[in-house]
Amino acid sequence: MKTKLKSAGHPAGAPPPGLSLGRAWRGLLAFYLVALALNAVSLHRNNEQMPYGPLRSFWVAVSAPAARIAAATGLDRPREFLTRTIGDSLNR
Amino acid sequence: MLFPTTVFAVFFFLVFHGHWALAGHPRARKAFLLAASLFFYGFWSWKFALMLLGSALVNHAAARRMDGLDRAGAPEASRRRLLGGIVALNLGLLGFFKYTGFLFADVLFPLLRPVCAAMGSDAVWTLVRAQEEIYPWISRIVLPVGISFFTFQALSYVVDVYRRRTPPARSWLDFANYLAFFPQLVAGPIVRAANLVPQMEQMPERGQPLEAQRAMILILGGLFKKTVVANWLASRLADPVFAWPEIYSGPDILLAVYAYAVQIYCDFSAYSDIAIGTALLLGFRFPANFNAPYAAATLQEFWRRWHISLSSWLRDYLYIPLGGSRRGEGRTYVNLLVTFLLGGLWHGAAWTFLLWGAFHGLYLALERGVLGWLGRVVRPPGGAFRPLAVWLGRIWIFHVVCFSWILFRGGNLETAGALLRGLAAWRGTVPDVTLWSGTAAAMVVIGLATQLWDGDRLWTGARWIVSRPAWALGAAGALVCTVILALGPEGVAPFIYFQF
Repeated sequence: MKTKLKSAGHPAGAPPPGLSLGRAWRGLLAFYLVALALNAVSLHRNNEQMPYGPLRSFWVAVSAPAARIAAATGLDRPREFLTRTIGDSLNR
Repeated sequence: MLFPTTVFAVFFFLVFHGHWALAGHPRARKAFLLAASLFFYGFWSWKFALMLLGSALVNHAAARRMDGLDRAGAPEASRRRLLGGIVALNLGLLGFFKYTGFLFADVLFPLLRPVCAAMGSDAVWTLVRAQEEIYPWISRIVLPVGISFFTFQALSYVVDVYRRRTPPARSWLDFANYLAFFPQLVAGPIVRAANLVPQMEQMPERGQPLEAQRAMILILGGLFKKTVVANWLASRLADPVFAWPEIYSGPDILLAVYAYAVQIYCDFSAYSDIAIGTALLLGFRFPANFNAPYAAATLQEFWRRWHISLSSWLRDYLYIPLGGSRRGEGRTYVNLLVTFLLGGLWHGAAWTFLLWGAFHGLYLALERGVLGWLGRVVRPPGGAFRPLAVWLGRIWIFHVVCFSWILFRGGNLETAGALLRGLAAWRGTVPDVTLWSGTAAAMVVIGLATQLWDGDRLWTGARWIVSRPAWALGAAGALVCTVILALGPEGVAPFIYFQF
């Protein structure tokens, strides 16, 4: 007995539209920059929890400036707010 | 290197730039992509990255030799011997790493113990000394991550070349990129050579449109399924109950079984979605690996919707060569059982995986027989009864599959038995200590609902984003990613299918 849920795979007909490489690159860059800005403090905190050694020193040095800027500008607050209100109660 | 980590994000950023910057230099680009894939795999173990490279060399050489023999008009027997040799080598490698411990600890020694006991104390002491020699040796065998996946990919390549269904790759570099391509290397989808080798040979062009929006939706959807849903269900419900089922009530065990059914779907489909989305950003297309499996109304339909790349591999390289359904009903049932026994064994070296496979094989045979008989004696439900029949079928098959997950996740026969006894006894819950809660029920329902994203349904509903500026899409994606990370737990749990 087959059910009506359609087959997986690409939708029938014309292939899905896409972006030019230039636009895709701009989108990816925007993604990385905004993600870094909003998550820098949390990222830095995770890096500080790594085992001591050259790898930890490297990643902490990389994330520290971004974390300082995010904390100073308040960009870390949306994530902190979400973690405090929903994330912690879900995962405590 | 795990997908949802900062290290992978940095790695992918560099690979994306290198891959597209080298678009005008095909050979350098292919070498770069292979180096990136080997770095990804070697991040875990450089020795196994070398083994992967060796496997690519040997399998491609064998395929080229088979093709050469075909062109030279050599007897079919020589090609068949070569195929036999390369298949044995691939399976031997898989068998050594994956099944040596099981063979000695769970098959050979348990069989020998009563035999040696009957033969006397000398035989017993010989067996004890043999165990003392062998156990430390087999405990040092480390299972390479993803070996089941890339071995099956290599096998499909050499068999398809033998069957003349696909030509050998033009160069070793193209085949190595096919075998080692990092998005699907460690947990699939198992992509066929006919699909991916031509893409590796031609390489994506800079001028072709990139399905970046679809990739973003797949990656973010996968991140949500893994980070928020699967991890929560595992840590709060499935792991505690499967670790110690004796202390939980019947309803709690049932909830944990439902939770695991949703967890393994969300975990595995998340990996597939992220793999497919990552490949899309590099210009490569993979087939879908899931299609709302718990919407299936029969077990046969379930296997057309679950881990599609594996089930189609088993169909094409095991079930059909055994005869499929072409040699009478009795032989068909045997073929189904053998195929799923080996499918179960592919997942892991334990009796519970064999039982899981046997259960599916037996049920499929029974279902085929019963539905065939019903089709001859009863008219199929029509009109208003058909949707009811479909929904009853879906609920029934969901519970059949959930039962099989008890064997799959149980890890050993004792735990699986304890879970089944707990369900049968149906001890009542104590209200203050039950696992049932609004959040638990919501997570299970949300996890089941994410199946609606399979088959690009989410993309179909979100096509309105196509016309938005790319920077706005990127920023919106980052916002969604932040929400997902905020809702998820600290740390990264590995994907379930890494262990296969």
